[in-house]
Amino acid sequence: MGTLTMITSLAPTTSDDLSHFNTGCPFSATNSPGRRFRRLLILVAALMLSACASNPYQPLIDNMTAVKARAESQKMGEIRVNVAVPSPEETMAIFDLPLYDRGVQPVWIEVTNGGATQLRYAPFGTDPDYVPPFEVAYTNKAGFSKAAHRKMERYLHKHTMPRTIEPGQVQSGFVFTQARPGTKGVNIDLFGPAAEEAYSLLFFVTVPGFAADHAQVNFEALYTPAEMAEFDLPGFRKALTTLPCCSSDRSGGREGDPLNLVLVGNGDDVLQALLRAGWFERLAAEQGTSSTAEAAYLYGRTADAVFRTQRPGTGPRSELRLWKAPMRVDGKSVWLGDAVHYIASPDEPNALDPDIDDARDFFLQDLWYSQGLAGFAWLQGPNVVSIEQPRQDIMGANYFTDGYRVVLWSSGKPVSMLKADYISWDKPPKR
Amino acid sequence: MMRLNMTKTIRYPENHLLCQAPGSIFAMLLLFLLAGCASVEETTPETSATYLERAQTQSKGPIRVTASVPSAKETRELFGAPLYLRDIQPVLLTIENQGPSTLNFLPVGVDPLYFTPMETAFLSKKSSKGVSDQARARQFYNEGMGAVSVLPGETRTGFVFTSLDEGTKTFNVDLLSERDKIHSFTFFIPVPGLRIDHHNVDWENLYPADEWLEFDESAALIEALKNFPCCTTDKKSRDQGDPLNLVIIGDIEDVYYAFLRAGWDETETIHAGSLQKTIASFFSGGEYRYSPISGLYVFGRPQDVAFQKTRDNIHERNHLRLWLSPVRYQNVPVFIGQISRDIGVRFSKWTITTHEIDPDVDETREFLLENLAYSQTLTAIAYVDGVGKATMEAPRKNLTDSPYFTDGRRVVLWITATPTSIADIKVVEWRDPTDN
Repeated sequence: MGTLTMITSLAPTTSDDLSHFNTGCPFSATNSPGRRFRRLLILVAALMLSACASNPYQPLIDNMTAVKARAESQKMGEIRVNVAVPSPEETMAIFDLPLYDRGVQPVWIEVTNGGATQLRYAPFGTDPDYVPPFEVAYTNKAGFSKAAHRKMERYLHKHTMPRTIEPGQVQSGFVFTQARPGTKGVNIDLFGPAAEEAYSLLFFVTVPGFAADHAQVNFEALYTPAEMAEFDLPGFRKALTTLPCCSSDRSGGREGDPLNLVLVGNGDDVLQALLRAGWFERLAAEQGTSSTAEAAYLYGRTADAVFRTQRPGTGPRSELRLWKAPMRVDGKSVWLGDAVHYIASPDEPNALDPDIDDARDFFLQDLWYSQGLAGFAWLQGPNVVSIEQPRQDIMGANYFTDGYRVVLWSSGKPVSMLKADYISWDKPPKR
Repeated sequence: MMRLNMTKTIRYPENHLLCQAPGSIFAMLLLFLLAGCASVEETTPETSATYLERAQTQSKGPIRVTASVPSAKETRELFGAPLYLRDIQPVLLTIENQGPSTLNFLPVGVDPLYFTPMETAFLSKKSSKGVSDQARARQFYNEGMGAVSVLPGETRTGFVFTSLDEGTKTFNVDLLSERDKIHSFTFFIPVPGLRIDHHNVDWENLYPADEWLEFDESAALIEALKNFPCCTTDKKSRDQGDPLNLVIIGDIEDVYYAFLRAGWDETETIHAGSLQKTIASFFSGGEYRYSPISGLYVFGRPQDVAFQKTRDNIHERNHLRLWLSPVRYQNVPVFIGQISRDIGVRFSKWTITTHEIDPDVDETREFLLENLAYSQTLTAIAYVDGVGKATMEAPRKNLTDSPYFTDGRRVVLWITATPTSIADIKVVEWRDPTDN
């Protein structure tokens, strides 16, 4: 009934409303291309108007029960913080909006202030590109009536995490972040009046429906205890020289990219370091979609985990492929892999940068800057490939390299850039 | 004749140029066609000084870093390709190490999204004709500088290919020594080719000498801040626009660099070149981060400085305008300002289309506070009244009829040039907290 009124009241206004598009434009009325353009406009406007149906807005905060139940909790002094991230389906049920489809991911936060002073929560620290509630409402108002849009504004505003938490108070609500698939890193910064009352808590939240590729791998079952070799540091250095130089194609007949990264760290440490450095997990559902990542084999299987970075607007920038190696050093897992840069070319989206050393060095710097690097060392290898005579990988892409391999000790806990240990094995590569 | 008309279309919409109505998109298209195939870099004047003459050098003990940024035109001449059109900006660095320990240079510190030399060569393929792909790749590779070690007594020089920033290029050069030390150099290098609002402001003579008010006591300042106009106005001071909810205390240069450090872009003054760039960006759907910003009025004049921060697309950005007030507090200039967050575009009778702003202007104000705090540019904050309260139920409206609500407060931000940890920001209690 309401819907019908809305449509009929809008329909006749279409042509009238459009007339004022022209009033201000000194060009449009006098040119025939202008008229043609106007016709296009009318079409566009008609389409836009036809979208103005009046769906009721029916969100339900009660749908939060299951989400809250799986919230992760951390305590720091007198402060307790709970964090949970609703899945796309849960988001739809709670907000009556397909926010994930619009690139927005709601994060639920609850802060208990057991201290004696007021705390300020800074959404900027969770995501510098967070979207405030009125913008979420504005960008999602298509298909809703004016009244429904108002209702939506109020609802989103009401359920947004407030900035102020008084002493003794519990505050909860959402911050609307940029959506990212996979495990969600959520940073919560709280500030009291004094410098020593600044709290920073980091959560890694699993979101239903976004299983990462590595979650599908049973790492315990990859190798038998007999296959696993244990090393101390000097033994490790020696053992690294016996590792395969490169990945290969499925049959093992054709050599692929040099494996120029060795990462040391247990799974969780490696994952936290990578997430903090802004790398995205490859989702299990994406497996089989990237030809380059699928083509490379080591230990008779494709990579156990693939991570990527993005260049805004142009797509993937770098890709990291990791295989768990059958060795441990000082009780920590060892990962063998390689990194490549994609070229930000709109014409050839899968073009690879032949300078694979830069991708390797970028990964080192990236971990370093994001405080995920506990130490590193260089190892010289025999496989020098000159820029003049590049080699081809499995997919036929050119590469050249100085033959060096970098060994990185990752840290899940932030390590100051100045505290990363430089282990002097071989001299660093000279460019 | 046509050119005359064009200037008219420039002035016609009161609001942001980009959001011209679909009707006048045609005018823009025509203008674009008329402007022909002139490329971006040819629309604004170059200075006579070359990029090498504009180079800046900084020293810390035995370490010297020299940086320079070629303009669009110089870049084309240097590399035979219009890299600026690919959103790539080369930065030439020379690192001299006269110290006792090896320095590691990390290009990620200059720009985490830097382009590799080979990538830059690849992206130049189409435009640099007459050179073989291989020769070009070799040139970029040889002249580029990745992560390098600079040994004691050594000097390294090379280009880092960064994401484009027109106007003032802001970046860090971080050098890590083996002795657990990081040497950080921050550069602000103006690049010709962009006309910036406030470069034209004659700061010294904005007010006659006898109009300046000097305050040393906070009570007098608070009173003055409360009595500043609540809102911007139109040119004739008839209608009230957006609330003036920012007070910024800091030296002019420091304020300017603080916003650059926090990721805000300078804006161009309106001229044919900038309009053309704006149109190009409209049609490509790309971002043109420096598009001009319309004038709002305080103290009888449009803003002295405008900054903007681009978000997803051209329709969504944050705008910020500042006016130098005739007040100085403890010998430091006091600015008053306004900030708004565009959340979309709507049709409007008077300006054809206009930006819808986030009606929760306090949210936008607090966003700015956090943005500046996280970029370590604030020493202290306070709140004063003066805007006047407006509730969500009975909002006020700005000049383009966008509603807004507010608690009526202005945030007062003390800006510093010395990076200051967010935890060390002083909260000054100027308001009675019980007075809501």
